[in-house]
Amino acid sequence: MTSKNSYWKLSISNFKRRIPYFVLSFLFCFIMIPAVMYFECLSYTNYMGDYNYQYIKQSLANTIAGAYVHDIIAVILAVLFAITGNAWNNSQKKNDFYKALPVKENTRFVYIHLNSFISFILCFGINLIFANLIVACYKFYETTFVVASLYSLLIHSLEFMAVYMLSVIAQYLTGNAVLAVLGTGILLSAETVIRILMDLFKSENYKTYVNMYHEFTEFFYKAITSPVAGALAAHESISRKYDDYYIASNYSEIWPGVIKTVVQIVIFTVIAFYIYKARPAQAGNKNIVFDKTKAYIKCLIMIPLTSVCVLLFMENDNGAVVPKYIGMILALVISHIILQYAIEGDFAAVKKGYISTIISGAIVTAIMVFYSISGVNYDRYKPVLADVESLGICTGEEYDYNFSRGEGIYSYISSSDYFFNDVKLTDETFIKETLEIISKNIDNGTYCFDDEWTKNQITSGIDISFNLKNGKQISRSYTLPQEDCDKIKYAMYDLDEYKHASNQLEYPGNIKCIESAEYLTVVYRDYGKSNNDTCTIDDKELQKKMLEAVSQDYLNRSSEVYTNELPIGYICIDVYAQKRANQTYEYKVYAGDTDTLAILSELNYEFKSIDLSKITSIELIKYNYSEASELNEKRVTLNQEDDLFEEVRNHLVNREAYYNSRLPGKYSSIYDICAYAEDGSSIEVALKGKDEIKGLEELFQ
Amino acid sequence: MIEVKNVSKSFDGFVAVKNMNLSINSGMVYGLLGTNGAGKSTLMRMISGVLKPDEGCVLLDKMNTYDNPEIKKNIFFIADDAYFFSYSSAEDMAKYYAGLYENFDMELFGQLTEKFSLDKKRKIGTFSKGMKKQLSIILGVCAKTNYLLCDETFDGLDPVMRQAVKSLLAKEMSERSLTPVIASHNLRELEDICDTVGLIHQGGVLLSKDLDDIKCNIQKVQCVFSEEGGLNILKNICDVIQCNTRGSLHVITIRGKRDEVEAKLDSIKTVFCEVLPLTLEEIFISETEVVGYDIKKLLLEA
Repeated sequence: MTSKNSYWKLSISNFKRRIPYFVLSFLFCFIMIPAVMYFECLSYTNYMGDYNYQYIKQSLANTIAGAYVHDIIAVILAVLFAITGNAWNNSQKKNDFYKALPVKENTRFVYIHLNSFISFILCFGINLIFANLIVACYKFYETTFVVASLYSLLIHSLEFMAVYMLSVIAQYLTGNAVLAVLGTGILLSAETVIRILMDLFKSENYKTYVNMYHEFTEFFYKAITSPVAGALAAHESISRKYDDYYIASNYSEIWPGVIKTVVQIVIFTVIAFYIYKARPAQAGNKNIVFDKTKAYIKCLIMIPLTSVCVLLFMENDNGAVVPKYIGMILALVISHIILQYAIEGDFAAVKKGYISTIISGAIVTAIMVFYSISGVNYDRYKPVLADVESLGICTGEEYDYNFSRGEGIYSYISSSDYFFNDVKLTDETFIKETLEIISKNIDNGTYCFDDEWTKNQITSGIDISFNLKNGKQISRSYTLPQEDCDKIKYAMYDLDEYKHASNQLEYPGNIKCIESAEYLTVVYRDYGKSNNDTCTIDDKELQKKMLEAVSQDYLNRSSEVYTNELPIGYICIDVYAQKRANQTYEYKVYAGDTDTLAILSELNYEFKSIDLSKITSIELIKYNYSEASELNEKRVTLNQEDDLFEEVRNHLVNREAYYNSRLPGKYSSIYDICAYAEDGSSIEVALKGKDEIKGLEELFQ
Repeated sequence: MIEVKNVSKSFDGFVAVKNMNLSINSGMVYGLLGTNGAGKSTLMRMISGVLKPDEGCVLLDKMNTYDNPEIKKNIFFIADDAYFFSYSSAEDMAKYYAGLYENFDMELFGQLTEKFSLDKKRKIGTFSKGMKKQLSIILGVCAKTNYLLCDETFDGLDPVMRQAVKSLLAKEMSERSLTPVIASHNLRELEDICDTVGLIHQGGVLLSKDLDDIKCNIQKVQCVFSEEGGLNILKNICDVIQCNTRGSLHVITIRGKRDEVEAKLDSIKTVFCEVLPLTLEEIFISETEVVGYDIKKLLLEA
């Protein structure tokens, strides 16, 4: 039964029997691809005025090419085809039937799986054609859709095959449809779960650990063994191409994802084939096919489950030892009962299998001990100056920035990702001084958050990545005394390489956006005030001057300004390009920003500082936590006739100071202060040097 | 010829077949007899290539059967609980088999379904258990393979159908080279159809003999001795396998040819003496007792 003729007969016969699943899959794809495309086209047609034509086309191409919904389709159908196509393995009756036929085992393996692949490609491919036809009917069509469709078909077919083979492995190992679905989920997410768990263990045990996963999807697409990782990575690479100013035409970055998935398919197929051959024919109706693998499967499930419980208990009890072990024992007992029943299919089996449970417990304990012990060395890591090539520093005060990498403007890079990977500070003096500060604090034990030393100190956080000459990048998150932290930050703020790298207006993607800007909207607000003023700049020359002024003032500003001055205002510039808001830049304006202030003056706007002399009443609110941990507040209102009014008013500062730890002096952290002017309007203020005001505390007695 | 050489097969530590040796000659009807769990189905599955032996080998015409499509084209295995595709008709199944067995006779299939009053267009799901058994046998016969392995196939057939199936097999055997191997736990199912019977017990072959040879060598005698001690005298001169006594009436199973046994009985004074025909069941009870197995109870229960 190896002739081509017989192969096709078997294949067609197999396909005929799977027609109901094919129809179901086709309908599913139809709803998820062309139907969704229809509604998207309809929406764009109805709101045509709100969007630009090019944007619509790119958005539709994005939907066709890299929508996550297609990944969901691929995963669901892969599991469906794998389970239904190989269900005969789970039945003794069907095993007898199929295995008695004069068909080579290898032939059967090939035609069943090949049929599944062809079925998916047909379902998905035909519906992609329908989606293209719908787009064409709405006259949004262009040739890039063909590329997007081919990309989608390629990457999702590969994704399907990888998930399918993984599901087949689960099916061959378990011999039970329900367990196979669960098993697929476990195999699919195993590495991701391990990465998350490792990350959580590090977060819990390493006080200076920097979480490098900024988005949850990163846990998936950075995985090596996950069959969806390649497709997600490919989407990630092309999604940067899809913006208002880019025609999707360069798919060169998808190949790492494609190659990764192809390698996975080959490996999974080899494993599946090996298990298929090794699988005993009498495996039907068994929960777990291989007796010898039962204990391993149980351990593989039990270890992460128990780890999660341990982490939950650690999270709730600040890493206390006893709750950790209570969590572990609880998890072991519960998972032992569930897994023994699931694997053996018999509640009586709960009394067995203790060894694998004990081994799982021992491994989790070892993991806990490992992270606990290694945490000390990890936190106290001191890089040698000669080994360090550059530093990447994230102070956490840049969260408002729109970080951009490459030419795309929508790349969603977090601040630490950007500063660690895109901003390399190479100034030797700066590196030397920074390392000395870090080293000194590690020796003093004042480098990470700790109840003891941070209790009475003003501290500040700083994340540093040490880029070593051997190519390694080591990142740590420190909590340093304010003074030391500021030394590093101010030195960094004075570096030209930092200024240029952190200047949003110099990002390549932003430059492209600005060049095609139709108009700018500028929003100004005085610090301490909540009301805004807005103006729109249509004139190209003025737009350019405005942005250049802001940019130049940012580059000219020295760290001394941050140290000694409060900003006088706040400016937010929205750059609009072709009817759609594309980018927002937010800046604080200082008194020395002459270029910016000159332009604002041209626009008839001047920042007005808060006139504290006009304050007529001050309301002080003190918050107290009672023994029952309930928050109580006590309010005291001072009017002009009150004794302390004048003294308190003299200690009021702009509210910005409350948040700005760069400025010297201690600020109130227990009072919420409302100051009211003559006209009844409120002014946002903070209290500076409250300890110097005698009798203030007594007011709250 | 089917040769089972030193074959063993275990499932999760349970030994289903242990070091089994068996030869089944072509052109005869071979009956595999054994209690539930004796290892019949496992042996049938290994012969048909469904299972791979853990040890030893199963040869069919000198070739291994497992994963050997060329040799499997000569075997049709009818499982105890045969599988048919969901929502398929008898004709669909026939077409499927026709694609796999080169000599499948669609014309014969049409004739036989008509003869057995089976509607070949009807969905198999609506068939009764007996009808499904009939269909399995018809499909097996129409596949025109040299070996037809029937696992408990005759169970569930009514006496008329059983006779019709037996006739069908006899006809096929007379027309071409066909070796049916019929496994059953019921002696009576095999008695009137098998040429050779193999008794399987606890994963091994207790005996495998030609039925005629066995019947010729064992006699059952019912007699009343005229003198006391007659039975002891008989035991001294004959190979008495079994003896049941009810009052003065003795029912004795004696090994030996009929003439020899009758001659020896003549030398003892009896009031009444008669040689009775032996059932297959009695033969097996006697034979297995000789080899030290007390399977009488088991077989009678079956």
